[in-house]
Amino acid sequence: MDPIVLMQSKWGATFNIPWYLFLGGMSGGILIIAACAELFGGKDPRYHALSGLSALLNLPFMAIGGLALTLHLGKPERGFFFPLFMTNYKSWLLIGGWVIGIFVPVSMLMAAAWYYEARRSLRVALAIVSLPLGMAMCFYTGILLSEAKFVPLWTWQFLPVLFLLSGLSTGLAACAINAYVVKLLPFPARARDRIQRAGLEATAPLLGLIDVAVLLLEIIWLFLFVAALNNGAPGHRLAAHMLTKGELSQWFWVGVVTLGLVLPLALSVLEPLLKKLLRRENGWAVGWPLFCKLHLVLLGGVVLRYVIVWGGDLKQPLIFPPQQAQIPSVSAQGSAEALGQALKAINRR
Amino acid sequence: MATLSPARMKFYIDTKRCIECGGCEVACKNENNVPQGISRIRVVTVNEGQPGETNVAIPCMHCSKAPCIAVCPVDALYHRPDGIVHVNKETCIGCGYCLYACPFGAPQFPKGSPFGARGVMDKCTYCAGGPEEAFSPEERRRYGSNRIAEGKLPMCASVCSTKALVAGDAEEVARVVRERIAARGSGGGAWGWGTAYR
Repeated sequence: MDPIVLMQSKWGATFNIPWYLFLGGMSGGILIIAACAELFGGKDPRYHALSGLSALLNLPFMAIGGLALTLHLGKPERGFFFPLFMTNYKSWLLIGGWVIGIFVPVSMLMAAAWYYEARRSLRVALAIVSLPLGMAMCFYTGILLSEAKFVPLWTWQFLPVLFLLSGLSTGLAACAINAYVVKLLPFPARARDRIQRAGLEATAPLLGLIDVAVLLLEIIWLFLFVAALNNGAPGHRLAAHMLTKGELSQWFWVGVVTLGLVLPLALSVLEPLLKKLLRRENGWAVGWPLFCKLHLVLLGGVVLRYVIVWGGDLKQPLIFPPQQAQIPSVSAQGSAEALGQALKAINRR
Repeated sequence: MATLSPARMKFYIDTKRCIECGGCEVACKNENNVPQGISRIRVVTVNEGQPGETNVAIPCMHCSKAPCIAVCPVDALYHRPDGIVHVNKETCIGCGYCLYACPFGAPQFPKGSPFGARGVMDKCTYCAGGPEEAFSPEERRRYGSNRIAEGKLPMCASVCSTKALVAGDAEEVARVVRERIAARGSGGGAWGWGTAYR
């Protein structure tokens, strides 16, 4: 007999949750990059500027993401005061609230450390704090979803790492775009001068290169994820079917796989070839593959979150008929004698 | 049965008896002031139009280890001493986490615009009202009737024409079910039979 398949949607019905998951994951990735730039960049002012300006990027992202997260609530006014009202410390919604609550001030401090040219020891200490915090931010969004154990697509084995990799790849793309864009922003005169001198664009190719490695890992992880779903319980197979052949297949194959993963990798191969072919290092003629690649990675990140949240509408099918009750000492035919014994057995209980 | 332990109120849906009359759905909405677009109990049909067509009414099953209570960040969902899972609409923030945690689709939310639905979660109360004072106007408005405080069974189980929906203490429910199975000579199923009813 068919199982009962429930479809329920709330988070996928509006833009709030997918965009929050994207912005939150990307901000986590950005903070990891900012910390790594500070820790491994040495005294190079370029990496110091990369660290501070990337952390600065988190503030608008988290403002938009946090607002989207709060406004999706049925009672937003209760969500704003989560440290007061939320009491179930085992719920990942509350843990996530606290992660955001620490994440934003630390991002602010990272940016302020660059702006006010803080001592290097202080900056390194901040970076050491923010590295696990950025990872926690990426991970928690995955764990938050996978805590809903009756949603087969949201597996705890794969989702947190997938979100970490996606957060890292989109974070790298955002930092690389930021390296070009930040010069155009209306900073105070003192900061603008330092940004001009730092030569931040020089870091963009390196960020793009690291992104290739992360994207490759993401492809492998996504493959393992879908393969595991395909070989899992009936609910998992249903989710895999929905993802690769069913309602979400176009979003998955076109949005996540082609635009978000394969095309950026192809463009990364094209870029050095184009430079060799045209014998040029700079300019739009050889720069467009990098430009397209970075934006496609961001697009892929958004579509991935949408696909995962939409896929959550499918619940683990309720097995039907449900678990059979034990028939107390009744033979298959149910003779009068056996029935009498059974009723006696019940009454004795 | 001799030992006295706190009651554990449960539903049991006898799939061999449910005839999909929809009486439980109507009675629930009528009794409980249910917000528009929400059904606290609904009849699901399996294998419709084929041999072996079966119907099953699905309310909140008032799980002993309720996943909704585990994930609720504000503890708006809780167990009453008699095992009924309640929601406190005064503390619920409407995040929707319970909707994804529940295997039965019991927690439901008002349907909204593309910019988000407003309002808190609504679910089956086992006709036991809410955390407010019993029979108060606030309780009536937010949760509906409080038949448990009146010493009655939930409305859906009371009106079920074939007695497919059995409600009451888990032990009592299990006794009724065993008798039926013994008389019928074939098994009846329940989700969580091994743990919830005993």
